[in-house]
Parts: sequence; C-alpha cells; structure tokens
Amino acid sequence: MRMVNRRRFLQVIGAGGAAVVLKSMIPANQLQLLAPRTASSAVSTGPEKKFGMVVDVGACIGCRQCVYSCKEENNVPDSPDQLAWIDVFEMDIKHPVTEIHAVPPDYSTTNYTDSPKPGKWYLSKNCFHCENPNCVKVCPVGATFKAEDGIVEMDYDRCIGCRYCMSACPYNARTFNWKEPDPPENPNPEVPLRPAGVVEKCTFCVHRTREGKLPKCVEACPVGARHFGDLNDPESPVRRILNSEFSFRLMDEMNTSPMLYYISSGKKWLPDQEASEDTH
Amino acid sequence: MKSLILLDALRFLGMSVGSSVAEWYAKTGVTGYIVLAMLVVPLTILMLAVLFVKPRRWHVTKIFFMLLFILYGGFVGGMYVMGVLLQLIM
Amino acid sequence: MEMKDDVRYLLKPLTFTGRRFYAFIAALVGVIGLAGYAWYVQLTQGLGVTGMNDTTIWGLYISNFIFFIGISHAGIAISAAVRLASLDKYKPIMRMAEALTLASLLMAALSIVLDLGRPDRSVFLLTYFLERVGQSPLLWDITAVATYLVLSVTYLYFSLREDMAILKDEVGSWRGKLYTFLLPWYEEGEEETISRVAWWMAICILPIMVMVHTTVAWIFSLLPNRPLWFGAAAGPYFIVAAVSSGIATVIVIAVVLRYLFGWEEYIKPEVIKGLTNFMAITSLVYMYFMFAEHMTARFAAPAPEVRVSNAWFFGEFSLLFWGMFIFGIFIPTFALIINAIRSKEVNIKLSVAASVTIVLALWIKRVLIIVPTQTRPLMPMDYGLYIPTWVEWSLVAGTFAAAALIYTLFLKIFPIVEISEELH
Repeated sequence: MRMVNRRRFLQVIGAGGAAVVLKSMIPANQLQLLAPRTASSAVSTGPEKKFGMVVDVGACIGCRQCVYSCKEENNVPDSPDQLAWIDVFEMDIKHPVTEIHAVPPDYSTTNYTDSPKPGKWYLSKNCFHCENPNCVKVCPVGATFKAEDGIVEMDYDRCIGCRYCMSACPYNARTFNWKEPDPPENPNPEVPLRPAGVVEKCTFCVHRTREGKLPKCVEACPVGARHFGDLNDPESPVRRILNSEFSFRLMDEMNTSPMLYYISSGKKWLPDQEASEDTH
Repeated sequence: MKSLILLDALRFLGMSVGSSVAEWYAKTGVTGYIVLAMLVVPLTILMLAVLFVKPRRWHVTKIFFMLLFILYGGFVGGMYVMGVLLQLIM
Repeated sequence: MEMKDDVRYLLKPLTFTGRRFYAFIAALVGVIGLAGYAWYVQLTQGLGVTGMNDTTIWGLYISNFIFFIGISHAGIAISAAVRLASLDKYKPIMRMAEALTLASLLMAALSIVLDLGRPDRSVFLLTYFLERVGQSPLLWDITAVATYLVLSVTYLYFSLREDMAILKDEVGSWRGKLYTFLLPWYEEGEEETISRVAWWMAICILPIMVMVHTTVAWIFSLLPNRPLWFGAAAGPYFIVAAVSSGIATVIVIAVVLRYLFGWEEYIKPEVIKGLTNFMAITSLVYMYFMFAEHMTARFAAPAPEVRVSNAWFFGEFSLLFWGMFIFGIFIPTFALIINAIRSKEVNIKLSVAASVTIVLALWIKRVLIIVPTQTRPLMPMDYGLYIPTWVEWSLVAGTFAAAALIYTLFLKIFPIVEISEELH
C-alpha cells in the first residue's frame, strides 16, 4: 500500500513538472492571446451616442459604389457568396419588402452589370448593428459585442471561428474568412487585416465614425441614398429624416431591433415598361 | 364594480412586475445560469451522495473526487495542449 | 473473489489476438492517416477546402457531432435500465454500451474541433467561460458534454475495479501491471460501497444525459431565423433519435462480439430481442416527431417554413430524405414490429439489418437537419449550395475509424463483459 502511495505521489509531481516545462515552451504570442482583450478599434464614444443608418431604397440606383468602396476601405477579401460586407439585392417591384423572404431566387440577385433596370428596385443590406443582437447573445467567447455607442464590434483576436453568430444573424450580414485572405494591393492601415478562420462584418467604419467622419459607403454613394449619424442627436441627418419620413426595418418580428432604417423618398426607380402600359 | 377595479389593479401589477422581470432577465442572461443549474444540481447531489454513502469506505470517496479532478483537469489541460500544438501547424 | 474456469471463455478478447485483429487495426490506422492528412490540408489552407460557404456555414462536421452525441446515450440508457429498473437480463451488454459512450463522446468533441475556424484558440471557450455562460447555448452544451464525459469515465472505472482485481493475474503481464496501477487502495469487500456509488451515479447521470442532448438541440432551436430549427420540440426530438441510434449501435456491437468470440450462450437471444423491441418503439416515436415537424411546417406555416419543408420533400434533398425515411426508418421499423407480433423468436439477422439501416438513416437525418434550413435564407439571396468535399468525407470517416479504434483497444485492454457479475 505505501509503495503504491509513493508511486502515485511521484507520478503526480512528474505530471506537474511536465506541465510547468510545457507551459514555458509556449511561444509568447500564445500567452498574449490570453491577455486582456483589445477591441478591433478605438474606444467607444460613450453611451450618449447611438449610431444608426438610413438607406433610401427609392433613391438607390444599384450602382454598388457602396459595396466597392467598403471593400477597399476595410481590406475586405472576396468571400464565396458575397463581394464585400454590403449586399445589394436587385428586387422586382412586384415583390414588396414585406415579402422578401418569400422571394424565389429568380427574382433577386446580387449579380448584375448595369443598373438601374426598369421594374427593379435595389435593397442594400449590411450589418444592422441591432440593439438586441442575436449574434452577440450566442457568441461563446464574446468575440462580438455591442459597444456603448451602438456599434456591434468584432474582436478578431478572440474569434474561434465557430460561426454561431453567422447562424444566428437573421440578415446573413456576416462573412467568414474561409482561407487566408490575399493581402490587398493598397491596404488601409487603419483597419486590421484578418487571419483565416475568423468572422467579419460591417463595423459602421468604426475607425472613421468614432473620429467624427462618415462611413465610406455613405460618402461613396453618388445619389446620396445613404445617411448616417447619431440617433440620439436631434440635429443629426438620420434623426431628422426619421422624424419626418415614413421608415421601416427588415423583419422587425425577429425582435432584434435593427439600427438601419429604410425610407423610400428619393427619386423613384424606373417603372416597368410593360406594367405601365397595362395600367394606362 | 369593486371586483372590476380589483381585476384592473391586479392586471396592472402583473404587467409591471412581468415587464421588469423580463427586462432584468434579458439584461443579466439569467437563462444560462438556470441551464447550468440543471447540470450542477445532479452533479452536486451525486457528490453529496458519494460523501455520505454507506458502508463507509473513504478510499472510494477519495477515488471519486480524484477522478473528477483528474478528468476535468485533463479536459482543460488537453484543450490547452491541443491549442499549442495546432498553433504550430496553422 | 477468485476466477472460475467456466467463465474463462469471456476473457477471449484479452487472451487471444488473431490475424484478423491486426488487419482490422491496420485498416483503421490507414483511414485515420488519410483523415490526418485531410486535417492538415484544412488547417493550412483554411475551411474553404470544405464545401461550406457564407450561406451554408455548417455541414458534415456539425451533423457528425450531433450523431456521435446521439449514440453516446446508449451507455447510460442501458446502465440505468439495469441498475434502476433491475432489468438484469441486460447486464451482459452493460460495459459494451458504456465503452461505446466513451468512444462516441470523444469523437463528438473532435468533430466540433474539426469545424472551428481557429481550433488553436479553442481554449478560449474556457478562458471566457464565466463571462459568456449566461447567454451562449454553445457553452451550455460544452459544460453538459464535459460533465457527461467525466461522469461516464468515472462510472466505467468504478464498474471495472472489481473485474481488474479478479483478473490481474489472469490476463498477461502487461495487463496485470496496468490493472495493479489502476487499483490504488483496493480492498476486498469494497464492492458493496462501489455498487451504491454506481447506483447513485446512474440516477444522477440520467438528468445530465437529458440535458446534454437538450443543450445540443438548443444550439439550433433557439434561433428564430431558422425555419425547422426554431421550436420547442427539438429537445425531445433529438433525444428520441439519440436513443434509437444508440440502441441500434449497441445491437450491432453485441451481435458482432457474440459471433466473434462465441458468446451465444452468454448474450442470450432474449437480450437482442429486448433491445430490438425497444428500438422499434423509439423509432415509431421518432416517426411521430417527424410527422409533427412537417405538418407544422406545411399546414398553414409562414413561407420560409414551407420552403424548407419543400426542399426536403420535393427539392434537391428529396432523394436523400425519402430514401432514408422509407428504406432507413419506415420499412425496418415495421418489419421489426411485424416480426415481433408474428413470432416469439427473435430474428437476429433482421435485428442487425434493421439496426444498421436505422443508424445510417439517422446519420443522414442529422445532415438533413443541418443543411436544408441554411440553404433557404430569409434574405432575398440565392439558395445555398452545399457539396461536401473529400476533406469532409475523409475527416468524417476518420472519426468513425477513431471511434472503432478506441473501442477495439478498450476491448483488448479491459474485459468487455462484467466478469464479477458472472462469478456471483
């Protein structure tokens, strides 16, 4: 009995010693991964602000300048289903927004070369930075989190690539790095480059908006269909629009309370030639 | 008449209590702790049962808790070691 | 307690190693080697080497995970039947089922690691555990599976103690040394205490087992944007599938071992008959759940539900669905029921055939749970396309080979039957 006890004691000590040796062999950056988290950007601008966006589907001509400029600004690599963090759907006017989840694939596409086409309207979608985000709830490591100023941020150093947030997002707003992304020709130094195996999404250009600038997509839109600002500020463009225009959100019943509102007040899309002949 | 006022008051009370509980629940994420409790309670009952099981053989109790410690510890340690090894490949 | 000669035939796996064993192990190692190479490709080139994409983000690895969690339920189900319901006729297969639980839980955990984009960061699941466990269903699942694994191993160890004490001089020198090492503080007469402890373990592991598969189901069923995932019935639905597939696997293992080692008298036909009848009943309950699920998705359901149900019934998944349902679940279940009504004798060949088809069908069913829902997003985008690649098939085959390897090694190291029970 005492022999067995001594043997076990030595084994426990040996195992402990091995653990200490192993730990000292860990490269420094591994230990750094366990250090206090750093967010993907500057510190939140505080609870007084609530960033939101307004997109005018009446004015949108589907040129996709928002998509390309976002891709360039944020060093976004190509993804299997999406070009960038913004998707622009070409919708038939026969299918109103309340029916978007009944739209068969023939009626909508992100692959088109010249727009606006007659009889089509354009619905652009990116991360809505919801107030009650499902993605934040399900993340097992807290790699995505809602900052105080309303932006749902990503911490690329913490993401383990489980893709649960992608599963939870009702709006398919997130993309995944299915491989090591090719470095862009002129990377924007303000936005971190992501490794393979992490999720990414629109950040409302957090590196710009927290410095008082506008997101790149808002600046790039040639028809001014996109608006951005602080929903808590009565003078901001988004608050003034929302106080005076009829607006809607996508799939409100999901209870996520998106912070991207749609209006339809700008120049109307080109009418469908056949339809307008029928009705006259 | 009085019963209608009473019912109205009860309804109002129910709604205000309900909505504050719902708000607290949404903020604190208490769901997760309830789910954890569903796991921890049987485990705790088991640990107490083993502590007090008769006929008393203390070495059995010792082995049980040692095994729990070694296996949970091995689980944690194993994940850590696997992470280090995978870092070398990725 | 002393070993008796009339039960020595139960030690056959420990005393005899034939050529077939080495050939089998070689084949398993070959498959595992291929899987290892596939994992290397995946780790260095990223998850893009699989068929997954931004629309269909989860595929074979996740369905494989659910499958292995499912068959792991057999162990506690049978142990509970024996210890709590005193169904002693299932004693001969208790340890076979527990060993299955061990192998399959380990493979379930591996399947999840295979699916991660950054598996080198998997320890973060523990680092940030306290911060996130209040909200994330994935963490509830990890806690449940870890606890279930720890308790199953503990239970297996306690049930092995007496056997190891009896056998340590009977099974060769290296096994004897191993058994002695694994028997600290052994005393004669500890069996009574251990038996009480095992009884308590059986009773406490049962609710944990329920919670394991419920938390797995909740990973999917708490998401409102996923038609045919969202809903309250997912917990019981998954558990019924788990028990069905678990019992089916135990039947196959029991019949195979019975044949390989000549244990026809030890594992009597009544045992197979009981397991088969139970499996037929759970399979019937599973068909009830499937019917309820699709009726809910079709009667007056919102468009997204109908679209996903149509994808199963008439779309690109229809061959898979109808094939697995008719030939994998419907026909085998009713064949078993008809056979049970018509004759008192159990038809062992039919039992094995039905079990194999049911396990296969339920593996396919897990894929049908995961994939079609993702291919029909709520946004007006193209339907998702998912075609698994050689990497995914290799890794899935690898998990099955590794499970078989773990099981076979267990068979060779420890007695797969409860020797002490036989000597009583």
